[in-house]
Amino acid sequence: MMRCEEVQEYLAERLAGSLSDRLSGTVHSYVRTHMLSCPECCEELEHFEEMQRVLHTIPVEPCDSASMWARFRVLMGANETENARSTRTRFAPRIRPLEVALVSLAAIVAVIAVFVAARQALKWISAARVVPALSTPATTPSPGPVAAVMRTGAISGQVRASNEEFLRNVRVSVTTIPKPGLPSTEITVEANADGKYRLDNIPAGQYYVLARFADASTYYPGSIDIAGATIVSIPPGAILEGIDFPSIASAGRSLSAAVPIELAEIAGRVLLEDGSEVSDPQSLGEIAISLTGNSSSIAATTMRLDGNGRFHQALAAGEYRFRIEEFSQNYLVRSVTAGGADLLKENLEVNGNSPVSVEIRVARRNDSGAGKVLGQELDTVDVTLRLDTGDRLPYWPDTSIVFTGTTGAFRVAASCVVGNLFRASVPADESFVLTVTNVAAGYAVQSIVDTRMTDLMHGGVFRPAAGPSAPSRIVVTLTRN
Amino acid sequence: MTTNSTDESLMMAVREGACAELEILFDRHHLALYEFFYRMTGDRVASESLVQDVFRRILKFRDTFRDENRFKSWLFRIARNAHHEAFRRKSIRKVSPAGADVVRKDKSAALRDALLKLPEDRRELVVFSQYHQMTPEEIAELLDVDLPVAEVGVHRAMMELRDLYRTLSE
Repeated sequence: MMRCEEVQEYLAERLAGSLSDRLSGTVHSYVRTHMLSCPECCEELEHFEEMQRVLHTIPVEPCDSASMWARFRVLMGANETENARSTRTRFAPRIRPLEVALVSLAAIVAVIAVFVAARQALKWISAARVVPALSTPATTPSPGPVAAVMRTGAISGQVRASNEEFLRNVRVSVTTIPKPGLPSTEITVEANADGKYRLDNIPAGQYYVLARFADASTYYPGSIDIAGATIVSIPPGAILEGIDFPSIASAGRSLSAAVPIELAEIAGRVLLEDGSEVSDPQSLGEIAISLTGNSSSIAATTMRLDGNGRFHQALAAGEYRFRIEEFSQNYLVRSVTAGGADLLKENLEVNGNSPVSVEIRVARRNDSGAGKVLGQELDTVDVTLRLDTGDRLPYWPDTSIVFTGTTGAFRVAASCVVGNLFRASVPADESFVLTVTNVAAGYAVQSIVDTRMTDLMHGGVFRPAAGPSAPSRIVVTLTRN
Repeated sequence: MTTNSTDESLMMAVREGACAELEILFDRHHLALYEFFYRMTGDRVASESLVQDVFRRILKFRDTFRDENRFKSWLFRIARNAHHEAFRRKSIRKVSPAGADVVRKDKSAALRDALLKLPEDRRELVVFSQYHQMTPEEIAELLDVDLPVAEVGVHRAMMELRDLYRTLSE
């Protein structure tokens, strides 16, 4: 029988990922037996797991990636210069010290000989002749410090639109081609009143060029979809001219020369359920709201809250679908209205006559983490991936655990919170079939079991736990093939 | 060389003089390095400078990269050296977590303080194992120690962190 201290050491080792293959199988079964009858050790495990979860909530202050890239390029430029210098030195002819001594001696003898001969010659020539002084050869300028080569380029062009109004609000950006896990670098400039722009000091490389109006993007040369974008290669030390946009898109429709666009405004705020202001708007965190033009498939425009819980956006008049894309973990949305319209059900009509005012009513989330969000009772489900041997699994961000509702069309993939812990918010009154996809090569799913011991792998259906006292948990056990 | 090339083949190309390939390696690793330094120092400006220092060292010592080296281990070994040296030169200030008497705002702040209070050698073990998902084998290679030493080190670091976190949370 294992003692508590041993079990706790085991838990620490397991969380540290340091359990050896040889021991883990046997030890794991002992630990399981012990844990069934020991609440202290269960608590200890929870404490450790919580610590591991909290570890991943410690924020990292975002770095200035653009400036890091710029400094890196200076470093590379300096290295190139250094290499060029050392290459020259390497290929210069080698002179040995003895040769130097002999050559120097010969030179001295030659100079003395010339001097003596010259004096003799002068004696022979009449002293009356004035010999013009030899002009001093110009000093060869010493090479100054070689400037570090900055490998940057520039682009310029013009954005065109029928309505001059738009050109006052157009911004042009170059953005690096997105790569998974890496933030993109973006350099932006405002076009002038004629729509002309120029972007300087762009690190050489491949970019998308975008013209933005009212947060709708047009990719160079004139696509609203990134798939139709032309990638522009910016070479070092060059200015690419003529990167022109014949027309640009707004949030709602394309701005072609023939279509007049009506500008409109939308403004909104977040209030508590009873209509009072949120005392600490910072606690609302990030709330991203997207507006999608209902009449076209143009990409959504996204608004973010300012520090006072308000948002504001200029856009083209039209009909929009209003969706909250991201929301603070601390609050639940109770309602979203504009005038008398319920935006959780209806579309939002924005016209140029007067600004549209949107109100989002929220309630502070209670500790249970469950409640009404966008009209649905949600339950948080934690899914843990484990290996049948008890060993720690590698980090698998690509793996998905998909919850498919059996009665409705609800389908959501649990996202990876940390390590092998995945989390999903699912409607509490729905039941689900679970599938695990993108398991890494060499592994297979052995079992999927929830807290009620339902076998979810062989036809069992998952029902979220009711109430905060019994949070839903699912364990997916994997085995090596 | 393409963006699909392995880190090792890119680094070997850099070693042979194709220094431009370092750009792909910078692209792939500068954010992970920044996170490592930030977790170790809690200082954004110092962390950004240390990332530059690492790539400066890579260029300078590129000849020392061996075919059998794993790039990630080699990179983080350079990063550890850069960090230790910066501390020795006192070019980065010692992180000063808030005292235990300060009222905690949340668990995350308490654990951050606990992490910063851990001795530096223990802290880096937590950072490597928890944030960079390094296995004990990788850590052993990186620290140039035997596997059991790395395992015990990570284990002790986690236990110590738990004790500090408990103290600071109470």
